[in-house]
This record gives sequence, C-alpha cells and structure tokens, in this order.
Amino acid sequence: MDYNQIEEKVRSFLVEELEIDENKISPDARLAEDLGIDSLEVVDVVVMVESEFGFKMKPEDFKSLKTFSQFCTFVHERTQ
Amino acid sequence: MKPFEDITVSELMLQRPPFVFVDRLLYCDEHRAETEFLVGPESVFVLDGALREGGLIEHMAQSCAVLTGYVAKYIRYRPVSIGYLGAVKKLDVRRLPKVGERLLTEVSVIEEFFSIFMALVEVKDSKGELIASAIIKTASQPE
Repeated sequence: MDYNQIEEKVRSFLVEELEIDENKISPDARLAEDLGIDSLEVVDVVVMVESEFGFKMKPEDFKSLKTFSQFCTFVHERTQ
Repeated sequence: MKPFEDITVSELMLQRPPFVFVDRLLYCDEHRAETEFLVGPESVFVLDGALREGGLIEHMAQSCAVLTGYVAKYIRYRPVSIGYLGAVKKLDVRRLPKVGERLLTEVSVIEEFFSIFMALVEVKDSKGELIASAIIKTASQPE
C-alpha cells in the first residue's frame, strides 16, 4: 500500500468513525489539538490500524506522533 | 480459582445498591464475559413496567466493569480499580425489557489499550433474542 492509499484510509476513518470535520484534516493538523482525538478515541485508532494495516500499535508509538502526516508516515513505514 | 457462582459482583465493581444492574457473573476470561440481571420492579430506571434506555446502558457498562474487575482480581491479581463509562457507540436498542425479564449479556473485548477498554456488548433475553447492543468504552483510574 502506498502513502496516498494509507492517507486516504486514515482520512476516511477519521471522518466516518470519529466524525471529524474533513476540512480540518491537513498534513500539519495536530491529532489532539486540531482534530480533537482524545485518549478515548486513541483506542479506536489502535483497532483501526490493526484491522486495516495489520499491526498493533503500542502506547509509546503515540508519543512521537503529533500530526496527521506523521501518523500516516508512521503507518507507511511500518507496512513496508 | 473461585467458581463463578461464588463470586459476588460487589467484589468486582464499586457500584452499590440501588445502582447495581448486574446480579451475577456467569462466565469470564480476559476476552469475554457473560452476566445476568433480573429486571426488578424496584430497579432504578424502571418506568411503566420496563427498564428504560438509561438502565440498559448502565447494565452494559456494569457488565464491562465486572469483566475488568474479574480480570484484575482473579487473573492479574491486581486491585479492582475505579472505572468510568467513557463512550457508548453504535447503540442499538431493539426493545425495552419488561419487569421480570432476565437479561443475559455477553461482553466481547475488542481492545484494551493503556487504561482504556473497548468492548462489544450484546444484551439478550432468555430466549436468546437480542434486546440491545453497543460498543462501550470504559476508562480505569490508573493505580
């Protein structure tokens, strides 16, 4: 799966499952501050990553993932 | 390990009467649990002879609490921590159970991440027909 495909899947998940306004999603959008992903929704992200991309995230993974593009890059690197 | 019939729900969760919506734990492991609740006439949230949506949600949340309490106490040998209902998603209430009905509820763990727990909860009647379902998220107070 290439980066664009991953970005599209993540974007769809954020809009459809977490009901985040699509207009707020940009490469530099911060996951917590701009998109409003809180600790309760992180578990949805973990479930989505496991089902869509086939690996399990760890709590420490989130420490360095601040923006939408960082998150997509992380998933892309893990799935190569 | 203690047989399920010898376990009281009060040792697995902190809610106390009249705000208790689980009578018994029928089965539990780290991935799933089965609970039972008889809708009594004096139950909180009973109105016009039926348990309202709020009571159903509380029953589902407490079924999750019983699972996490059991896992903490009897599998991981940890203290039972305070749990908070975090979110209810995809709630589907087919009907409101009547006073005298026995609810048999299955909790299937979807994910446990940090102190957040997410599960599919299905409430059925004694005939096995689905009464309600939801995805419930609870948060535990860190030790």
